[in-house]
Amino acid sequence: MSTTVPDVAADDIQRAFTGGTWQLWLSLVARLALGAVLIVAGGLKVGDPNEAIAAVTAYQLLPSGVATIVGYGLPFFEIMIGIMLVVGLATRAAAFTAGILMVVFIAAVSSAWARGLSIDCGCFGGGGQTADPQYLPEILRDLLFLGLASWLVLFPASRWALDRLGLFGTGDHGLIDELLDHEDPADESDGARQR
Amino acid sequence: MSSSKDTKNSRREQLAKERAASAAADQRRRRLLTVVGGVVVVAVVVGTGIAVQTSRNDTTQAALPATVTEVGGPIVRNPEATGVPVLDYWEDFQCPACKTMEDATASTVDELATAGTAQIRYNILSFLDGSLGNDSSSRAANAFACSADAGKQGPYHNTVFANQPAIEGDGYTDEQLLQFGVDVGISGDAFTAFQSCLAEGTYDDYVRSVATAGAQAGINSTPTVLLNGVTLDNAVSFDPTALTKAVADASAG
Repeated sequence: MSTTVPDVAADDIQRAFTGGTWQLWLSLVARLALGAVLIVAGGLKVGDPNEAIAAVTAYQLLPSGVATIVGYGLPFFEIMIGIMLVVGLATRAAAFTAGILMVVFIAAVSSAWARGLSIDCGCFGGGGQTADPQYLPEILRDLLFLGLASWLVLFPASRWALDRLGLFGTGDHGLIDELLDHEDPADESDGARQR
Repeated sequence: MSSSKDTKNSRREQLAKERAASAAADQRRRRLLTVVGGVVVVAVVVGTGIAVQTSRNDTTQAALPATVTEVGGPIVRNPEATGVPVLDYWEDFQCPACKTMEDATASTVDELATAGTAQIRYNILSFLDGSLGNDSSSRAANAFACSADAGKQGPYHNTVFANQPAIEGDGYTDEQLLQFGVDVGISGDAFTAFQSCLAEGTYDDYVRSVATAGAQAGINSTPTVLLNGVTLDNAVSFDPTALTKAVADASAG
């Protein structure tokens, strides 16, 4: 039997969000949008590693050696997370990582803004000095992506996801499930049979 | 109710509790394995990516043109001038702003170089290839490095900028880059070497090493001119009088 008894309101929320068809479709849209953004962002950076290093260096936050490693590695990291989101593999973990990435990006762009640098974020390739920095739009855009990531962390269940195969056990469960320590339906039926 | 049934019930409860506990432990273990496995997979993919990019960008074995002392280092126009202020030029042969600067200051820099008032170093970048969708910056940079072997890097550098196409992106043909060599007086055996140096892209790796050095140094716009390692304002680097004065002040200091 369940160790905690969910209160009715939370139970209703849980049913509304993790059971509703529209949520599954919405999470699919969020997955595909955020995943595509990451794949494109990474893909545009992979081709020119020196440009990627220059973009990271322009923030003047990391020592040269670290900036080089980030310039080399970040595009692959983005592509990987993007692919996981698009195919719906370990959706919650991937979305959580994407969210952390966005927080880091927002912090980096904000710090560049605050320090009076005049750089392009290099989010989708490019980067470096620019006469006309677009800090606010860049931050707002990343906030939108952060919103998508947060949604997926809360409601990772979605249509057409590899998670549905049960590889990572996150496919059909929302965060609310775990917060409430919800009992696995399989256990319940098992118990019923025993009785 | 018999006591045996009570015992049976409590035993059953006990059993159920144990099963639940071991199931929960199993689940925890499975979740931990999944998380660790996921992190390892991501680390391997990203690590492989870093390794691939590192080897793509590996220029440690790059052939170095004359006057260059280390991978990624500049081509020195007048290495004989030592103990004087150092002017580092970061340019891309396809960059229109660089041409504007060169048009204004090339003769002044010629004088500084000839008189040995300053050591002139050229760090030639090639990032515009990416944005213009050609390979003219890299080929021109390689040709420039080839000209250094003939000792003609100063005039060759100026000739390339003097002949920069009016339309950004038109680039330089191989014939042009070769002809510039003739124009600056590379001849005989030196010209034969120059010719094969262009054809073989002898200094392609060196050119990439300069690009990496520029990226790591945070040089992300051209032209960037540094006097003794300090970036000069465009108002100085584009102005012959101000440039001469800055160099004079630097040597005085």
